[in-house]
Amino acid sequence: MSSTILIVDDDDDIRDTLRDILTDLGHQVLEAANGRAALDLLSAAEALPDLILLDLGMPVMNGLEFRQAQWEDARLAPIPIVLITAAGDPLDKRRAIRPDAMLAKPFRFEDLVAVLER
Amino acid sequence: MTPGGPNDGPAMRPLLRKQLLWLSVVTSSTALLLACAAFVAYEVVTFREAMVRRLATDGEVVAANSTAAVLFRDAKSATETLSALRAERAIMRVELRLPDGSLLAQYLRKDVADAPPPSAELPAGVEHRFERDRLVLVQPITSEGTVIARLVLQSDLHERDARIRRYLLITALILMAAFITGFVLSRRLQHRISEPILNLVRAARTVSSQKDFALRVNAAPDGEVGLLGKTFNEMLDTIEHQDAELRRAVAARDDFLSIASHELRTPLTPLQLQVQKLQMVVRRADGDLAPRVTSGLEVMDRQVVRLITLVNRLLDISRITSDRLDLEREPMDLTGLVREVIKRSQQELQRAGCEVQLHADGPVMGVWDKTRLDQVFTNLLSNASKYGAGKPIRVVISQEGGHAVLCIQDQGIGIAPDDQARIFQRFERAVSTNNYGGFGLGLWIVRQIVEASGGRITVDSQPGKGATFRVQLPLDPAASSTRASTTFQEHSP
Repeated sequence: MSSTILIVDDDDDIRDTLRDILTDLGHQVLEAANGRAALDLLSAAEALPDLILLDLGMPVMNGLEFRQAQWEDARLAPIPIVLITAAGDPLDKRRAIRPDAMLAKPFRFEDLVAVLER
Repeated sequence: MTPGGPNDGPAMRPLLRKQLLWLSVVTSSTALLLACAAFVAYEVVTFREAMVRRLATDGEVVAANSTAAVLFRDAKSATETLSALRAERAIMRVELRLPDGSLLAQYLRKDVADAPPPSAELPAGVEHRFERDRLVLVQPITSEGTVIARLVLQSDLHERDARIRRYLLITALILMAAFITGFVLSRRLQHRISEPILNLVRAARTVSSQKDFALRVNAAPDGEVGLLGKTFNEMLDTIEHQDAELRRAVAARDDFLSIASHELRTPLTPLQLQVQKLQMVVRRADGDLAPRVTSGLEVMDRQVVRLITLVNRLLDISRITSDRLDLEREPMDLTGLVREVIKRSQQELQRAGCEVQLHADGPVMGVWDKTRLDQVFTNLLSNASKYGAGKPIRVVISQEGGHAVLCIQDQGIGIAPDDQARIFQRFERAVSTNNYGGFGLGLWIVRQIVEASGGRITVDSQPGKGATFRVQLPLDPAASSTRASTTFQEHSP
């Protein structure tokens, strides 16, 4: 089953790797380097992604700010979020995002597949 | 870190003040007592001399007046002469004896009636002696160079005794007054000495009990006590400085550890995913190259996992040492978690040649941090397969009262009794690093997690006969709070 996934992460290598794997798995992949870029991409896109892989700590606009902007936009609000967390991320911020699922860095291929299947 | 309640040691008895007080009072009283004793002794001696002198004068007068009466053996006239001494109240008896010892005349004070005193051999010259209750003086009566009679005068010592009594009374009064004034004065004055010292004592106690190195005492401007205060302050300067430096160093280390482990993890994410992706790519591609590349990638994958474990451990230390081991508690099944971990560790267990026997009656539900308990069991299971390679591992899950109990029993090399408490300490290990790798941090982290969850971990082992690690966890740690400080912040209502 093919779906469209938006990757929002400031690390090029992580984005590339995730794109590789997700494409391999047969998904359409969109990419953004931060929350601002993601919002721009979403407002321009005709078809919305089925899922967003969201990093927390990013320059320009971080994950939490993106999430808040997402909630304010009725069109974007329903898109499920998978939060990619790093060890140093504060617990309260992680909770504030209220993600549909979480992936703690560094995660394995199986973890990613398990989250996508949900 | 936390001061364990009132830990001030034994109550301080104000001994110094008491000692200073007694020192001055006893010293001044003793000096005064000696002075009084000398004065009294001198007075008594002087008075005795005066008594003798007076009695001798009386004797001389009477002796001179009695010369004629003696020469004529005129007892009546002699008795009259002697009676003249009636005026001297102290004189109780006067005898006029001839050289052969017979009594020519005598005078007795009215109240003295009884027998004559034992008059022993009397010397020739003027002689006196003090007896128990009287002064006896012998005055020879001479005529033309020969002793014709002896006058024996006896005086009582009432006056002397009264005087001595008076002196003693005065001495006692002076001593008492000196004692009281000395007591009052030194009570006031000893503050000057004792107060700075007691200040120091109080300050030292505060410093040692509250670890407040910013404290300083008001040192006296001069003298030994002032120097003591100044030195004490200088010592505190040094300690405060070193304490601050130490704290900075510890903070810097913690920061470094935190940043380093965080930074180290970032590249591990794409690295791990890429290795896995390559493994899949190679698996799909047929060719001669595939088997060798696959085995190489497998090693890489394992090593990346190992690297991640090590970095995670660093991060855990940084969290634990800075009190940031935040637990994310949720209702979960311990048995399910254990099964999951065993399944995931299958490869490692097979490589070690360990078969796991799991004994569990069913789900054991509790409110715990799943990721952390996963870490605890993974670590213990990994240890069991590491030190008990080739032997079966027995895992038992049970519920006892409000606790879940998880036992991991291996049949490995075991732990010597001396090492059993040590292995839960940081950087401690029971075996040499040459034979078994590792930081010596695993069990320390395990213990920190278990204790933060309100539980405890114990080990039972005999060298050569394997080890049994027993983890006891309260089903609902919030209800049975044991370590409330940093652990339950997020769950407190």
